[in-house]
Amino acid sequence: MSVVSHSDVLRIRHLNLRITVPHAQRTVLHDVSLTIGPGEALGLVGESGSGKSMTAKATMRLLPHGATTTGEICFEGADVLAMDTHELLKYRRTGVAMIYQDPRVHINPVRTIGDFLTEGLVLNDHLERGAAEDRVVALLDDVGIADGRRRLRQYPHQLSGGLLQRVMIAAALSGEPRLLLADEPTTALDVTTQEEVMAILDELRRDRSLAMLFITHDLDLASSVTDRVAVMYAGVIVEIGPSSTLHGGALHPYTVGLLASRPEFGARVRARPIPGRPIQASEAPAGCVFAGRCPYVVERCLAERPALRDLNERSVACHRAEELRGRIIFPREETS
Amino acid sequence: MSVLDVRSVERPRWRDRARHSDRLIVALASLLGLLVLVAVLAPWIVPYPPNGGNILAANLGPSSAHWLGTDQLGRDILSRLMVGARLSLLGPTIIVLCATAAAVVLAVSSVWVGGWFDQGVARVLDLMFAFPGLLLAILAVAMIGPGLLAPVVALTVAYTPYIARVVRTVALRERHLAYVESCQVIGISGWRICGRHLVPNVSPIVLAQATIAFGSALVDLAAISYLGLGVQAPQAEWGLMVSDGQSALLNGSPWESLSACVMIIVVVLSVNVLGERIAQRTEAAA
Repeated sequence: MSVVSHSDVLRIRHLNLRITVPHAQRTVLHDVSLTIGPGEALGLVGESGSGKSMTAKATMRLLPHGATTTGEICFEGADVLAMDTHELLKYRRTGVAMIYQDPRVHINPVRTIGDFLTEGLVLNDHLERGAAEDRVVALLDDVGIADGRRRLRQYPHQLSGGLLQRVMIAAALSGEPRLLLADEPTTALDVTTQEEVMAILDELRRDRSLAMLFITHDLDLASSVTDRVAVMYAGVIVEIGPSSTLHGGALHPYTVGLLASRPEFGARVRARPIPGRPIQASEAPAGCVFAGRCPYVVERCLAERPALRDLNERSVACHRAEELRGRIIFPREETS
Repeated sequence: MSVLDVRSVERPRWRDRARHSDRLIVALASLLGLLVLVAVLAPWIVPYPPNGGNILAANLGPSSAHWLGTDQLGRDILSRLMVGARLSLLGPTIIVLCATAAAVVLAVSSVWVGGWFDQGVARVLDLMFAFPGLLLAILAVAMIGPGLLAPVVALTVAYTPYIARVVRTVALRERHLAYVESCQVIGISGWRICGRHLVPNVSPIVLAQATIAFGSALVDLAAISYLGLGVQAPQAEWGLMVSDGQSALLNGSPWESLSACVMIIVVVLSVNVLGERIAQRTEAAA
């Protein structure tokens, strides 16, 4: 890894997360370790249910009742999981911010945009309502909303999805955080709006040297806006590496499979989906989590779970990474 | 493009809906408002002193001097109805206010904290359901003594679980909406999220429940007084008037019991229909 550990904004080490479902405990994250340096953007990619969002929620310590964790989540050296209520509120107010896939459901529908945006400032920075509004209007201007003053009087249902997402970004920035957790912030938006929102996010991030955890299922998007990309499968990180070498340099069969299953622009070739269905973290076998769908599975994969190890400036959790390097091809699935 | 009235687009929808005045709601609310006004002003506007009467003019039928006649002690029934409205409406009001406040605090805090606390509150509520309000009130009278205080306290306790159960269901749904999480993310404390976001968003259903509870509380209190356990003579109260008028009723002058009964029925009916309307609107809006 490229960043020196003591200056990391976020360092997650050996995080295991289990949640309680009726009559059972279910593993959600298994031995997740990752670091984000100041101003660095880390992409977190995986299929639905792979534990991407739970990683972000654990970072916020927004875990459901009955969740148990081991390992540590350190924000600027402080263990998030050990914070008391007061420290936790301060951490959430000023340390970290989060934006979501669907901004519409994340804003109280019966209060105005102004109420939503100023509540944190009035509460945390003890600003007067008027001063808070001035700050908020400036923030809205930063995210590309010119007529902010008018927007403050409006209700969430009166704004489009793209505008609302900008409002969410403004809200996230109002606490002047050092870390931004972006949980699929553009998935619910149409392509042109997506472009604009990503551009704003990228610019703001660079201006404020904001560290970012960018969660998405879109590999191309992740590799274009982040410095490094981590790939998750069934609650386990299977590969981390620089975004620049993701295409062509991917080492884990799952990563290669994900890259191959994108529809290719222009070429009229069928995308090749990875055979089998994605599994939940709770269904993970004792060996490699991807063993059930991997065309290169050998006995050792079933018996022993591979740990992340460094190879070619990347980290990969695959027993056969060296021998398979550059040679992984997914067999075309027979279609009826 | 045709010219649109932009202002109407900018106005929040629920306010628009409220502007389509539902005539029934307006009519019932004005009727109840008028009654409250009369109750408040009663001491100054009654035609006769409610406790002073001419025993020689007892059990009279309606006349131009006494619009609703006189009772067995010769007191003016209309004046007593007006003054009686004070206690008859005040009792249920206190019960509903206290029970609603207790229910909202219990329900929202249990939903917020969750886990064993939520389970504990739910069990306590179940236990409280087991006691009928009237029985609890009679028990309270036996311990504290007759008067308005004992039944009001007992009925407050008895009504809390009914309101709390409904509020809890709605608050539970509300608590798991995503905006609550984004409030947490901004670093708003649990107290504030409950007070400023959850409670306002469950308030319509609270209002509907409280309105319906008011009707039941009024009937229960009147029943307690009818049994002679609540408000004591010579004070005026509708339930007490129903029982006071019973002997006169057998002697062929039903006016006291009848008019008090009609008042109770009119108020309870209006309040219930009003509550139902509010509940319907809340559902339609949700």
